[in-house]
Amino acid sequence: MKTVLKGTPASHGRAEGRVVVVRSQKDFKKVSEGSIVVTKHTDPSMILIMQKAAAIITDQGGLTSHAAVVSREMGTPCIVGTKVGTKKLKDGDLVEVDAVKGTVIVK
Amino acid sequence: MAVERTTDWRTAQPFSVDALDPYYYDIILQNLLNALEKLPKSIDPKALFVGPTNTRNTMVMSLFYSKFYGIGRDERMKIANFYNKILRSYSPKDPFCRKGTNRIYTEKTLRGIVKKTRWVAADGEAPRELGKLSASLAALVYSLYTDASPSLSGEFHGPYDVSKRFGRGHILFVRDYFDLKPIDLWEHAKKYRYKQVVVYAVYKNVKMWCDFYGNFTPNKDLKSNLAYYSVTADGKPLSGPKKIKALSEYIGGLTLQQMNRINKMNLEETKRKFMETESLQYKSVFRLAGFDWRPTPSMIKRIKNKRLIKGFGVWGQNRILTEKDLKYFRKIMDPRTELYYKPRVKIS
Repeated sequence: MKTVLKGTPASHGRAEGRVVVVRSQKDFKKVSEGSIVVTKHTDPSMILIMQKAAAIITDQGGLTSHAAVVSREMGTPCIVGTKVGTKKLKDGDLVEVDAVKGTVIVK
Repeated sequence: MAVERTTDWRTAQPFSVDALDPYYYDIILQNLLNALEKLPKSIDPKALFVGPTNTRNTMVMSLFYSKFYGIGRDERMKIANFYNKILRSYSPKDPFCRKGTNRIYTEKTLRGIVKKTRWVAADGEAPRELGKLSASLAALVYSLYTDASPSLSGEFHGPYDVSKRFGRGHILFVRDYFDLKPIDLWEHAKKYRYKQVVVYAVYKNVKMWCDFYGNFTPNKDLKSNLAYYSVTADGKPLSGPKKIKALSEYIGGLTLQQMNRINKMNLEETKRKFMETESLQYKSVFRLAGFDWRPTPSMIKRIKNKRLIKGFGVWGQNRILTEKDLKYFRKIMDPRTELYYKPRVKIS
């Protein structure tokens, strides 16, 4: 197990689950309850999949970005600004998200 | 302005404000200066903008662009004093959120709210459903107002000490979405079921920090520290997880429809809507001064067939700002200094 990603913890918490990389609306159907959603950045059309996610990881964004605000409201762990999350993680990866330290570990 | 350090402008939707503003903001500023001459002296400062967060947002834009366009010191000071007066009328103790608060209730109003509200204990599914509702509302707001001006939709305010009513360590935080039917921008919004949804949340042992732009950051998980809550839709109480879930789903549905509508717009339509949304912020100021708030024909002409500007602002360098950037930004924002903003890119 090694830390593959680091970013800014935007909504504190920890979660474990399978990665779903969301690049467009076509990927929404891949997200199920408990998925770890990994995306470049979020927008309002992603609200329903964000509600299903156990954690959210974005390449871009700061503490005031859409992903951060929505995750804090829902109490969903969220790490923003990982830069390369969508490149380093792939669908089905089992990961441990520590949104206190801002790290993602592939198990 | 710590938020400048925590904001990644690449994620702004549909684009960062500085992708378009430099084309036309001088016209808004000139109209604002004209309006300041015509506003009735007896006006209640609170009637000029929808709330303190929106006032602070427009203040930043006005002061920043007055430096970009080389507006003189006397006029800059007029603008700064205008905003200062409004913000102090809202929140005399912390007008610029330097103490991390955005409190707009007076002691008397707060006592009345605490007494009259039908509080519900946050047990079972309630915290989760309330979190989902808040997230859905935030998404709807972004889809209606985009990053052009989400603060037109409402005000997040607090934290208020409510320990006398609920016990030690309890705070009240209010999410007041007072305009979920922006018919000035979207005609179809008149069919929306609710104009205003207010979420009153009482948290235990949570500290909330508000930045200058109205972003609240809690130090703990909100869901597990929610103690009591109350939700009203157009003034009527709507408590209980089932009713909240239904509202959340309704709001979520509206958001998806609205996003589909936005995604179908071409760039020219998107630019125009963005400019309209920004202009709407000045609706009351201009109306009270006898002007129309809508973009003028010259503003429309200025953006027609123009590219989106990249890398214009201090904040638009596609990265999180450094301490050096912030120091420079603060000097630019100070209306008393003669430091004018010179972007790294050409505007044409």
